[in-house]
Amino acid sequence: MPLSRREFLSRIAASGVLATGQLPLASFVQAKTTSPHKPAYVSTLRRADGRYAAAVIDHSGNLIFQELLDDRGHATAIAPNKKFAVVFARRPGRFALVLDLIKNQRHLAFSPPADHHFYGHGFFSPDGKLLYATENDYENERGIIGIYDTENNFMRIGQHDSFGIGPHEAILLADGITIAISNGGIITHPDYPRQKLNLASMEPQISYVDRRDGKLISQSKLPSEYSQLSLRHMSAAKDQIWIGGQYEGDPSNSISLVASHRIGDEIIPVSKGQTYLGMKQYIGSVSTNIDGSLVATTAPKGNKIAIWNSDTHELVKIIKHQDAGGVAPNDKDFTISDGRGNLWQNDKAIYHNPEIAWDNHLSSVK
Amino acid sequence: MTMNIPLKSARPLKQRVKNVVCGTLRGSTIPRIAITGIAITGIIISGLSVNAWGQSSETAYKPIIEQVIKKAILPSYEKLVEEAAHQESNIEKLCLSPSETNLNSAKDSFRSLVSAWSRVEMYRIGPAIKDNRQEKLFFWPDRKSIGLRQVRKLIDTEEQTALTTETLKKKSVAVQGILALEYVLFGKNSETLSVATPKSYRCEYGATIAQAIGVTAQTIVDDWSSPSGYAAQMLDTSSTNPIYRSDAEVMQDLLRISSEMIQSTRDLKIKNTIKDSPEKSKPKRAPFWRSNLTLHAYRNNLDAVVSLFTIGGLGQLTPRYTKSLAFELEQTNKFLAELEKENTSWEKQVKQKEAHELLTFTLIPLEGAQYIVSDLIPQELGLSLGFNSLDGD
Repeated sequence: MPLSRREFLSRIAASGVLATGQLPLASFVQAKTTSPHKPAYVSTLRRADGRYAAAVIDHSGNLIFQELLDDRGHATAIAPNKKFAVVFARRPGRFALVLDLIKNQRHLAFSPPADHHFYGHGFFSPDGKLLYATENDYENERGIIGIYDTENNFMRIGQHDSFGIGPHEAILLADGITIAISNGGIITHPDYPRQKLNLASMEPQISYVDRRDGKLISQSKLPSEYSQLSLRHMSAAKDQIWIGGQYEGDPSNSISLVASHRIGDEIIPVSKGQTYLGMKQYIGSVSTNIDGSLVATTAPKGNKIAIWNSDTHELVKIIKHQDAGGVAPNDKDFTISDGRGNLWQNDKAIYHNPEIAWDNHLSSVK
Repeated sequence: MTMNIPLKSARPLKQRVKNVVCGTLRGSTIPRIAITGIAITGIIISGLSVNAWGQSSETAYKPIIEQVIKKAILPSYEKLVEEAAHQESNIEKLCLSPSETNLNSAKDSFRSLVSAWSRVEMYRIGPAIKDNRQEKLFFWPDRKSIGLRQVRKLIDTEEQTALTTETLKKKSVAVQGILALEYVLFGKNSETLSVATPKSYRCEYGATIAQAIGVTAQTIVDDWSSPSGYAAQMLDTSSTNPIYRSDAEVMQDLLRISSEMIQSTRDLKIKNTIKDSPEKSKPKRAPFWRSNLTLHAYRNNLDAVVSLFTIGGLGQLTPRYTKSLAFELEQTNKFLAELEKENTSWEKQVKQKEAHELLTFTLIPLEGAQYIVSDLIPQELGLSLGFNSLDGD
């Protein structure tokens, strides 16, 4: 019989022990600065006490350290030199926390300008000097890519237009210049937290922007029958990007929830709608393996993970997995995180703590 | 019958709260110890013994789902169809014979229409999502007044294609729903409806909106009840069902929409409107401020949740939680009814200290109610959604 949250918290309060399951918080704290472990994964999580944190884990599943967050986090950008990770707030949050992966502690926190909030994703420039973050200029209902100077305390030094509404995730392509942006198309505003304000008129699309000058290189919209497929998460695989969406239309519609795209081409739905039966019209994360041959898409609402061949677009397999949200590449294929406190690497749970819930995304420190 | 009680009455807030709470408790089995401000919710919930209730996950959900559809969802939508027809009829009378009496009659019908809408607003699933029907019925929030501008433009230009249901339904979702009709009947220059020449544009547009509302609502009813409709999908779950693989998933969806209705009422409709103080409050963010039916709509929103769990039977497997839920929501509604009796405009009320405090107080039982629906009942039934399956991003 599961305990209610309040019952659980009252027991924790009575015992004087913090509820972090197998590894009490104290051991995380002790692990700081003394850990010989090398960071392998970063993810946000919800703790048993209801608070949110970011955690860094090594390849063997040892939790190296965690830092509390002001509110729920979302995704993490890893610096090219692997010395820093930046954890972004979940929309409509306004914090970004820089983790020092050498000292195993928080480095600093920063925020976007007033009247902006983060969408929860970002990436570094190849030289690590700049950080780009997806943002909402919500008063103007304009998607923004904010630019922060990593060598100057992450001071904001500029911004690019995302050329669409709701830039959820943006990634840097292999040329180191082109930013691919998934503009989900949904208007939101902090006055109406998490309320979707334009479902009847949304226009999701992919924009490609030159990170040097912010100019639009190319833009592609979905076919009209997919106008309510909010494009959210993406990953590059060889010369394509793969995008996972969330469908806001009739739940009985048979819709492909994953698409692939090359600049200049049309967006191609991957597989037929029937493939996505039981995925509840929702893809949570998209990731590519190390050599770009496989793409993984998680469907936590349907308790499924799909693995795709990136060349042929064929479905390799569907893995049934409860509440699996995060996926990231490892040396062999993919590591998966779930809301039940597990980290799965090569079909083996390398970390298990039922008192925490891993959040939407998992990042590899590769 | 409404009473004209000045807000700065001899009854201070504490007394008014106490009266409402005690009044509620006199007719309930909830222990009197529950009357302690913020602790009201906590005491009731922590007083429940989850273990004593037994695990319900093996229980068959299908009869419950069937009851929910037959006793709560379908009758509520049918009522909306009925009220839309009544509204249309009364506006047509006004159009043919403009008068103060007929305008008031049309406005009275609008109150009934808002009641009916507010009791289906929570069913944002399946047929209501299809073809943006929810937005067609209720385009809210309209943060940048886009819909308002579109409605005004139609009236100003006397756009003839807005005068037949077929052509109106092809227009923006914002110009064919209940809030568009509210502007027609209660917005700027609406008083001219009583003195206009027969068949004036504004009046005919209002009648067309009412008809469009009825058509949209009837389409939703049809999509629920057709042989392969949404009700059939809910009652015939399987691994090949495109929406629901199991009865448990249907139950989860019904609990989710209940939780969202409570959360929306609390966070979007009340908290986001009243803000931290009367000075900072923004009453026009609330729906139905023009017709002063805001509180009326909220009460019906919450009544609908109670009805789903009681008449609809959704709460029959968790009777004590359901009683607690009903207690929290009925208590909230007593506060809201107290304010409604003041016979003051919503805009003024929110700016007044006493009313603002009372509205602030409603956030407490609403939080408790949402916790019961979103956490406690799913836990009890073994229907808790995974963390990443909840409010996804």
